[in-house]
Amino acid sequence: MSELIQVSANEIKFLVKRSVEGLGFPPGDQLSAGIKAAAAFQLGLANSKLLDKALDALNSLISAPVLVSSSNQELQFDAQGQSALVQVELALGLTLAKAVPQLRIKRVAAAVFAVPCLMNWLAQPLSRPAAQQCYALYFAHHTGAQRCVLIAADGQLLGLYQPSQRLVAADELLLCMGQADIDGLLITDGADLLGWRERCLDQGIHLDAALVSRLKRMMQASFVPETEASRAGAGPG
Amino acid sequence: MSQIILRPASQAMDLERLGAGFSSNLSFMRTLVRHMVKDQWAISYSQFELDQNGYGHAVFDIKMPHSKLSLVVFSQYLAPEDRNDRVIAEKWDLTMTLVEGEVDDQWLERLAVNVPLQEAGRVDSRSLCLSRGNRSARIFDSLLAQLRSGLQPDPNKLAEVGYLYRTTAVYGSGKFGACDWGKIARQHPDLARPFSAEMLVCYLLRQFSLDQLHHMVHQPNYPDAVDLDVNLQRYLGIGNSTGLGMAPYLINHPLLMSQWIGQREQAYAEVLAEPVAKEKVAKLQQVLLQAMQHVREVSTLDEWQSNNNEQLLVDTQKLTDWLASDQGEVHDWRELHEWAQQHYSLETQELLVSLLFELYPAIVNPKEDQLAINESLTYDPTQSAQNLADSIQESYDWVFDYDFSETDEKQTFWYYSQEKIEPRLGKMGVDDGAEVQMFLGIAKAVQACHDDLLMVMDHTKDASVAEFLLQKPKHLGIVNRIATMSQTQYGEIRANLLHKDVLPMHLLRCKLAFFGVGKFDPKSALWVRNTMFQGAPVVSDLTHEFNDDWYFPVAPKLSCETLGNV
Repeated sequence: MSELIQVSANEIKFLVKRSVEGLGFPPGDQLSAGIKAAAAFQLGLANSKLLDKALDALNSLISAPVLVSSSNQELQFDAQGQSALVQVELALGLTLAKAVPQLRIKRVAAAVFAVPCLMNWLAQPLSRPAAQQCYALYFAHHTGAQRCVLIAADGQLLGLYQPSQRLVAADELLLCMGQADIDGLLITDGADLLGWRERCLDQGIHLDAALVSRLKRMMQASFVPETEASRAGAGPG
Repeated sequence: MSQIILRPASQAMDLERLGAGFSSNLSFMRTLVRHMVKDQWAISYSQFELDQNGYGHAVFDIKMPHSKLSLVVFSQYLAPEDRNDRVIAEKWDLTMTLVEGEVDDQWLERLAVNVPLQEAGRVDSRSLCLSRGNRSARIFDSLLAQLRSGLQPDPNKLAEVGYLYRTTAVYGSGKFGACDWGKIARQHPDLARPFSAEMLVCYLLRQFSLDQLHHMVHQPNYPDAVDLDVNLQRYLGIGNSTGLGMAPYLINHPLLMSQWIGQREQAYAEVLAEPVAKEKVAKLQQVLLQAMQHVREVSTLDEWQSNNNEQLLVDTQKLTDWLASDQGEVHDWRELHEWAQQHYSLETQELLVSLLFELYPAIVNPKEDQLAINESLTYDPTQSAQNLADSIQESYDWVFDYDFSETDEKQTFWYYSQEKIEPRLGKMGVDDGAEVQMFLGIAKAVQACHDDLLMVMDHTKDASVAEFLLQKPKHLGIVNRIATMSQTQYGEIRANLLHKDVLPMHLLRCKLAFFGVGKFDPKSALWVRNTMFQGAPVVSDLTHEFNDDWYFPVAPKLSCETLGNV
């Protein structure tokens, strides 16, 4: 069993943000990745393995998912293997802006990191009321099992489900608008997911020590070695 | 009561004005002390295990209405060559952590291993803050010797330093394993205001510094030893050195900043609208005189700050003379405010804000509960790109004052140093690191976003923000910011932090004034020494009658026979 280190949500946010910066992503992606990672851990939707996988997939040569097909009923994007820690909101956003009932993102890694982003948007009144609906977000668990997160129109989490039918491939995200009931097994209800958040606040979040070391190594690339010139006049810092 | 008129954002958010601010009764230190008294906090030592040299550990027991905390302090010998106030230091005289509940022996052992290491150690989610402090080499030993001989120090000499210890860092908000702010806000409501936990640590560090001093004074070999006069105890605060680490905070937390300024400005507007009563004018004269004496006692070698202080004293003397004259009848606070705007320096204008606050605590103090905010920057993807462009024109018009084709406007960049993850300034084309610079060039980013918005809308007139971002994803960060901040009253600090002559000092002072710090002593454009909690009640005062009148502390006067010479 690997060693665990207790960290705060703010530490995860900082570590991930700086790591993403170290890879050369722009500021919006950096902050968004940090927030998504911290929120997903706090809701019990992520663990060290998943974050590891999400970090593996980060590719700063990709700047946005590609829209591959568009109709009144569905948008399809190709994330080109990109991690959902970054850029996934670009596809989600277009779906909401067009109020299209369904979105499918292919070749996306660790799709569950899209959940906090959607919750955040729905928590505020949207300019396009037609988009203010409940959403079902389907993805594949890191074990390969199907999962679905149901989000209310006000951004509240309603539950985590195991769908009875296979709807997404291992590297896909499917977003269905207006789907209030999930055909499947309720794993954890919304109250429990929020309860997990309280538990994380109280007891911290436990990450694999190896993952923490990895994040610390990755973020080094966003720091600059000091020089005499840079130290001059920096005072107590 | 006349109409409430808020100062415009163009005035209130001007960086130079923000850098001229003073502490007030809305400052976090004042708020903390008020609540300690009002809510009858009980603070005592559950352990005080120091040897004759003051080394060992102590544990404060802090009983608040809703929860109980402990502050665990470790005191160790520090060789003179290891005493370093910079954040790169690795050893300190004192290290401490504020934790939940009571500390048992096993936990204390773990803390004893980790807390003295500071950044190199780990605490857990039962810790709220981690901090350290260094003794003032200038004052501690001489004061110790004097008190052991039964003499009190000269208050004026004491005023030159004003503290026994300096804190060089107070870490909160989940750093090094400590708990997140969310836990403090939910489980420790007595500290659910910005930086309350951090301020509490500094307050108790100050108390420990006095208790440690007295412990060392009253050793068996010194039968004549006396305690430091209690007025001098109150006059000693905690020193603080603040450098660039604090500067990006105000840019990276714009919602919080906007909330702080918004509450202050609302309070000021309400105060200015109050009818003028004679006793309020008399109180203004009293606090004005005290503030002037306080400024006279500021010790600084910095020419810029000295000039500011001198000009403030000239302005305030004129105001004092006018108020005392036959003509000096104030009919309307707004008239006085407008007079100050036209005739006094920025520092005097901002001093007047703090002084007027003292006259109306019933208006100002309740705003302390509105200073915290959920800091989520987000955009609405369904909004039209045109709306976003309109928001820029309405709320970010000031960014177009800068011409980023000029080299001077973009010559500075900010980065994190590898050694201690601390912010530093670099020069474009001279220093390394521009490619990983921090995202602090808000004006430049907004301009670039606006340019691209116009271009996209040229092709797609009814484009949504989502469509814009899909085409120009690099603007995601600034779009989040614009969409959020354009809905706030005060929004952004209006400055270009990339300019070659940027003065981070203004950012530091702005934040420190909100903390409640006084006696600003800039050591360069990049860092400042200051004093915290000077004049505040000591712990034994907390159960007595309290007037919340420790603003602008001045050196106490002692009778001649008790005086020595520090």
